[in-house]
Amino acid sequence: MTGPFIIACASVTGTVPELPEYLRKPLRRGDQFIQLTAAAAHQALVQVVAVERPGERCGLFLGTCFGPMQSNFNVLDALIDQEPVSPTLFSHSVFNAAAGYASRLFGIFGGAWTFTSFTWPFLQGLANADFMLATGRLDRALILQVETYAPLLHDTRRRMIPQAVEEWPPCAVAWVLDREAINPRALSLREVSFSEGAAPPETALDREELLAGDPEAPLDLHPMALPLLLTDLAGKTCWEGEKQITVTARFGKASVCLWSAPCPPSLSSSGRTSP
Amino acid sequence: MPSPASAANTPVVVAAEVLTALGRLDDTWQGLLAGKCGLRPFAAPDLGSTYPLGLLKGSGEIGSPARLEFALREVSRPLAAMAGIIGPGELLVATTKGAADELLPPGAKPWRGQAWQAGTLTAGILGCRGAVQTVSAACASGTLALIQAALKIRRGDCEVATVIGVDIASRFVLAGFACLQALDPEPCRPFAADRQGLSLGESAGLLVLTSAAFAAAHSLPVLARVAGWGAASDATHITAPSREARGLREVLRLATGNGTVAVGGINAHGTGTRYNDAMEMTAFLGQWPKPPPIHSVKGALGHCLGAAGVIEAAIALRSLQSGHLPPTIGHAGGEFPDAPISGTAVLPLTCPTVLSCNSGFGGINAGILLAAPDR
Repeated sequence: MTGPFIIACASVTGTVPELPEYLRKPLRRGDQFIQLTAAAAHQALVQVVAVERPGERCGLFLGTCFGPMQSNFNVLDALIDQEPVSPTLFSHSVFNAAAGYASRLFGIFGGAWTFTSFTWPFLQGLANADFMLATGRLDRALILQVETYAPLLHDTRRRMIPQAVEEWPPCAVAWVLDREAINPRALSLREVSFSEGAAPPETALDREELLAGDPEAPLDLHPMALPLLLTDLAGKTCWEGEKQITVTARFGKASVCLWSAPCPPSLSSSGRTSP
Repeated sequence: MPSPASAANTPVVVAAEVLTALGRLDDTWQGLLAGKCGLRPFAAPDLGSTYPLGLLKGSGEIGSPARLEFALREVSRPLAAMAGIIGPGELLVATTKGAADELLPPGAKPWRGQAWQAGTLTAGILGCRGAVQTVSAACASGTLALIQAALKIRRGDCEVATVIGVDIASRFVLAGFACLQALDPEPCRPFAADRQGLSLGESAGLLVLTSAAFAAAHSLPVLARVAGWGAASDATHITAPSREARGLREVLRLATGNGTVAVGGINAHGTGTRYNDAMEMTAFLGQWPKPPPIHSVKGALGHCLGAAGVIEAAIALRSLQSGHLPPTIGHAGGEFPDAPISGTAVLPLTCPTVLSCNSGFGGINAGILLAAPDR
């Protein structure tokens, strides 16, 4: 078996769920982006019950298309209104603030990386984590994609794309990769590859991704569609062998291959299903 | 999955350029050697105060897309002759805020300079057709983008990776650092006993990395090879560094292979804030009883945020070529007598390697060790 192994995954869609006690106080002033990051990370990390890893051997890789957009707009609002900018607000408007919070809250000392891209930010995180694990720099990695939006973005999208009636929901996914197969079910990440090309700016708002197959199937029209699909595949179903997910879009092509050992009876009988 | 590393895919630097308050790379280097300061008083429109700023000599309102594009176009102009090399390669962009003030003027218009558009914008200007990635790690963005590029080459993802760091002055960022009370009303004084904060600057920097095999096959001049790197988190506080320098000490350990690779000089982050500079000295003096020579460019150029790591790496290349570190403008000694800080004079490298390191918001620390090519 080759790794890295997916030992936990979680997703949070919509409003921020009630946070556990230990996260409430440090996150009380965090914006939605930070809180969603922490909520998804928490939900993934609580699944990891075996094999502790030293904090220095764990890294964090956060990908995002839009980052803490509303916090940025709030700073701009303060400037327009000639009001003082809040130090907390300014700090939270920095794109890697959420990664900073998560590294502190979950004791991740092996580096916290934030990638901003319209294309495949989650896959960028996976690819970089994969490399760090393969080269022995890290033993474990927390990979996230987090998206929150702003009314201004929704308005702009409606103006540009009249048929875009539904607002994108805020969402976060979190995966934990490890060098070793420490779970009863060995599920590994075999391949992550993607190409990105320059695309017209409107592709950021008029997102269209097609899942390879016969016929091709469109994914949901939002930036979290592929991460959610992969999280569903990795976390919610029991299957065996190799699964290749290939997606094409105007801005490039992405391919992810997962491999799973046979599902142990304990998991098969616990409500997980084969697709 | 990643391919095994070999000497052929050792990452090397084959081109570099910067645009700073002191000019292009040649001008910046000569200005640093001559002790020039590029910081000038700037009346901040929202703050009712004047702060020193390291502004580019160019056009466009601060914080505007026009200014961002000017910086990108100017810094990439000397690369026109390399279009055939960098065009098919990958592009990594390091920025914190892009044209943050773009949305301040009234009136709806298409956004083009936001941080999330920086990659596409830069790819269009440079003519890059490969993968584009924007690294957003606050003041460590530039160094982390360089590390990313080196890793991509090392694992065989690409043979050429262009790294651009760019950040322009803006009302957004000025107001933000002012509200944090992090700005020195006078030009900043890195590592000085009486330092009072940082001075902001703006710049663009560019490095082209290739594999050693690709450089040899295309007769490209190798300016340096990437000899080590490290990235680590403080996991302490969102804006303040770890007082024990936990993250940076780990970076130094990783970048030097547990101390087995000698460092001939350090291009430090050296912002001039009390906590950053003290944290860095804790790390340096903890790693080495007698640290290698140290300098900071922030007193001459200002803190260029996401671009800092790229322009400082470019300056480190000149240090490797010349064998010495330039002066640390603004440093007048005092607090760290055990550390060889360049002060008003140049300091010779103790061996032909230079470590360039940065630390930023969120507790992120990163360092890249550059070695002279014949080493």
